[in-house]
Amino acid sequence: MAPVSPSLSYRLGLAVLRGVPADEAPPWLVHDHRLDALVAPGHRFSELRAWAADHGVADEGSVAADLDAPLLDPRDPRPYQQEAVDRWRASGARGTVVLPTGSGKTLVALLAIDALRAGTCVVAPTRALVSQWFTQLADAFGVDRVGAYYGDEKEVRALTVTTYHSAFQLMERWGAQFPLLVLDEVHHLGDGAGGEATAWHDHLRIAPSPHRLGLTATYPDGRDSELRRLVGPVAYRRTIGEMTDAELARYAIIRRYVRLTSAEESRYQALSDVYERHVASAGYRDRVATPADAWRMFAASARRSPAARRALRAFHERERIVRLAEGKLREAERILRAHPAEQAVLFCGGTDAAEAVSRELAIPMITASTPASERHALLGALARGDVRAVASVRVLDEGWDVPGAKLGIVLGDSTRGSGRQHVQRLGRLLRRQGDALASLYEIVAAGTYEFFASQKRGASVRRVSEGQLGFGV
Amino acid sequence: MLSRSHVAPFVRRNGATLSVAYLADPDGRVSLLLDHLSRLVRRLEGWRRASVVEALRRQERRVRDVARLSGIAKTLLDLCQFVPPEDASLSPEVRDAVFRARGRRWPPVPGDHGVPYEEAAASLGRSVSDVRRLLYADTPGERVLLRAPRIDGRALLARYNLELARGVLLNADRLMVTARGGWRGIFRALKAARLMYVVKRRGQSYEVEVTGPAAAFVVRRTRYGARLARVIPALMRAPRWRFEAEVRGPDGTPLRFRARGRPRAAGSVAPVGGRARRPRYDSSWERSLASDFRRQFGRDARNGWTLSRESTPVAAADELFLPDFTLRHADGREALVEIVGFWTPEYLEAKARKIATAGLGTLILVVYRGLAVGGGATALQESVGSERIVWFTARPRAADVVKAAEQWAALPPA
Repeated sequence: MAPVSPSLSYRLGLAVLRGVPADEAPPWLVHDHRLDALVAPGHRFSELRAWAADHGVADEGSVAADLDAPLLDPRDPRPYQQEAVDRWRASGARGTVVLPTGSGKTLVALLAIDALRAGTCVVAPTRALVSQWFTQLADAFGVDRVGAYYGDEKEVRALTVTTYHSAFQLMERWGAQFPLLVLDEVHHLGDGAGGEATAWHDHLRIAPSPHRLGLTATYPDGRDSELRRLVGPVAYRRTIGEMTDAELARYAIIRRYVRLTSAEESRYQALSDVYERHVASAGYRDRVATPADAWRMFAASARRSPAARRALRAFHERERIVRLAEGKLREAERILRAHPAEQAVLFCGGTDAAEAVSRELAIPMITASTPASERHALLGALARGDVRAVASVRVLDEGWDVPGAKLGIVLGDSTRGSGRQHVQRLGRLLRRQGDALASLYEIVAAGTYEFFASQKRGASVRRVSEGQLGFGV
Repeated sequence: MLSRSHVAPFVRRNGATLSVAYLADPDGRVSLLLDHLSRLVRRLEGWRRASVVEALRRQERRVRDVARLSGIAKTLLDLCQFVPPEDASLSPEVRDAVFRARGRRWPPVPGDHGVPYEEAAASLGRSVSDVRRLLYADTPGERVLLRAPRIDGRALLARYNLELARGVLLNADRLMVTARGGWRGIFRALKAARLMYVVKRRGQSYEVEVTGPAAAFVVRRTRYGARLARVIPALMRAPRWRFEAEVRGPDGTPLRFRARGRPRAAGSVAPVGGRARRPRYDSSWERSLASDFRRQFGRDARNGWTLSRESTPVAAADELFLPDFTLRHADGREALVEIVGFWTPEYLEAKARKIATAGLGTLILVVYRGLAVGGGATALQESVGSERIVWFTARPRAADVVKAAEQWAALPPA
C-alpha cells in the first residue's frame, strides 16, 4: 500500500494527524490504533492547525462557511455592551461576559458574531431558549442563515442553535463548521463538587472551534477552572448593583398566603398522616446519615413494600393538592384584576397545574412539549396584546424574553425551593421598558410544606439582589 | 429502550464482573402474568395513553417488585403504536379562539369563566363541551393506542430480558463483539451510530472492538453507551453472537458484562437474544445471483464452489469494506463478490478508491452495464482492472462469476 501523505482533519470529536511519524509531531498527540493516526481532543484542533501550517501539512478539516450577512439589528448597543465585545475580542475572542439578567446579553453575542462573521453555534440550556435564539438570530442575520439542532429538528446552517444536551452530537459531526461557539447561561459549566471537569464540558472538549463566548448573569466564581481552560477568562463583568436604576426595571416582591379549602385541608392532613406515620415507623432517618440518603432508602423500599408505596403516593398526592389549590387560582385572579393593564406570566409547579390554570383562566400555557412554532406564536400574541397572560412550567424560568411582562405570579415551585430558579423567574420581569415597576407575587399555601420552601427562596433572593428589595418582603 | 432506573435495580456486581438478574420463570407463572399484561394492553386499543399507563401501573398488586413491572410496562409500551386522536388537529385553532376571547375580556372576573369557551364555540360552530375537550387533545398523554403488539408472555419475557441487557450498555464505554454472520447489519448499525471499530479474524468468526470515537478525551466516558446499545438489535439477527462490554461502575472502575445469543432460549434461564433470522438480501440482483447459483451449482458437489451470503469484512484504514458474497472452494480458496448496481459517478469513484486502498486481490465486481457511463466506470476499471469486472445486462449470471472466481480466488490470509 502506498504511504499515506501527511494531512490534518477533524473527525468525530478528534483532531487527526495522518502520515506524520510520532517523533516529528507535537508531543501531546497520542496514537489511535483504530484510525492508525495521531489524535488529540477536538479543542486542540486550532493549535494543531497552526503546527500543520508551519510544517506544510495539508489541512482537510477547515470547511467552515463564512457568514456572509451583516447584522441587521436596529438597536444601538449600549456603551457597556460594546465595551464587553471589545474586551472579549481583545482576549483573543475567547472568554465569558458576565452581565445581569435583563441587561441585553443577546445583543452582545450578536455583536460578537458580527465582528467575526464566521459560522457560529449557539448552545442554550433549554428548548425554549433555543427557539428564542433562533428568532433573535433570524431577525439579526436573515432567517435562511439560521438552523436549529435538537430533538427531531436537526438543521445545520451557518448559524445553528442547539441545546447543551444535543451539542455533543452536533460538535462531533459538524464541529468544523463553527469557528465560534456562543455558550448561553454558561454557569452550567462550573466545575464539579471536587473541582473536577463534568460531563457538561464534554462538548467543549471535542469542539474544534477556536473562538468561544460564554454568557451568564451568575458566574460560578471559584468553580471555573474548566471554564477558563475551555472557554477563556472572564473578559467583562458588570453586577446588578452597578446597573439597576439607570438600566434595569425596578421590582417589588409581594408574598400572599392562601388557605386550602376545607376539603383540600382534610385530604392534605389525611395524606400527611399516611406519609408521616410510615416514615416515623420505618425510621429511615435514624438509619442513615443524611436526609437525602433517608429519602433514597424510602424510595427504594417502595419497590417491594406496599406500605412504603402507599406513603410515597401520599407524598406525591399531597404535593399535587398544594400545586392545584383552589385558593391559589382565586388569588391569582385577584392579582390580575389589580394589574389589569400588565402582561403577566404565571409560574406553575407542574404541567398539571399549568394546564389547570390555562383551562380555568382561558390563557395559554407553555410547557416543555409545546412545539417551537406554537411558543413563538404565543409570545407574539402576548406582545401584540391578543392574549394578556401565559401560564408556564420551568421553560420560562431561564433566560426567556417576555419583554413586555412586568407582572409575575408564582403559584408553585417545580424544584422544591431552589434559589436560582426563583432568581431567574425574577429576571424574566426585569427587561427594561420605560419606567415600569416589575412585580413578582408569590402565592403560598399556608400551613403546608410550601410555607418553608418559600422562606428558603426568600433568603436566596435577598442574597442575590443585595438589599434592593424595598417592598413587600 | 429502558432507562437506567428500570435497569439499575437488577444489576449485580461480583468483583469486577457485572451480571443482570434476568427475570426467570421457573414454573411458568411469570409468563402467565406477562401474557395477562399483553392481553390487557390489547384490550385497551382505542384508549388514551395516560389511561393505558395507569392501567399497567394498577397491576402492581400482582407483583412483588414494582421496578420489574415498570420495566415490563415500558418494554410493552415501546412496542405499542400511539396516534393523536382523530380531531386533535383542530386543537391549535380551538386554543387560539379561546385565548383570544379571553384576551378581549381581560381581566377575568367572578362568574365569567365560561364566557371565552362560549364565544369560541359560537365562532367555530361547535358545542362548548367539544371546545373544552379539544383544548388540549393534542398533548402526549391524550394520544390514543392504535395498535398493541401481538406478543405472548414468553416472547415478552425474552424481550424484557434483552432490554435489560441493552440497558446495562448505557453505562458501557467499550464493546467486544464476536459473531458469525450478520455482518452487513452489524456494520451498518455501527456506522449509523458513529462508533469506531477494529476488526480481527478469529477462525470462522470475527471479533470487533467497538468504542466511542473520542471516549478517551471526555469526562462521561459512557456518553456513547446508548449508541453501543443501538447495535444490539442488529447483532441479534446474526446466527451466533456474544459480546463483552466494559462498563463503568459508580466509582469509575471498569467492570465486565457479558451476554450471548441463545437461539433456542427457554423461559427458565436468561433468555437473552432471539431466534436468528435469515439474512435478507439488499437488492433483487443479490437475490437473483444467489438463486441462479443454487440452480446452476447448488446440487453439483463436483465443482466444489459454495456461495455464502456472509462475506469477510475487510478493513481499509478506518473504513470497512464488506462485499456482498464470498465464493469458497472446497480446497480453501476464496473470492469476494461485490454487485455494483445503481450508482452515480461519485459513488463509483469513492468505491474504486476504497477498493484500491484495501488492496483486494480476490475481489470480483459484478457491474450493471446499463449505467456504465461517464468517468466512474473508467475509474473503476483502472483501480481494479477490467479483467476483474463481470458485466451484466438483465441479471447477474452465476456461471460468469464462478468463471472469474476460478481465475482470482486465493487462500485467505491466516
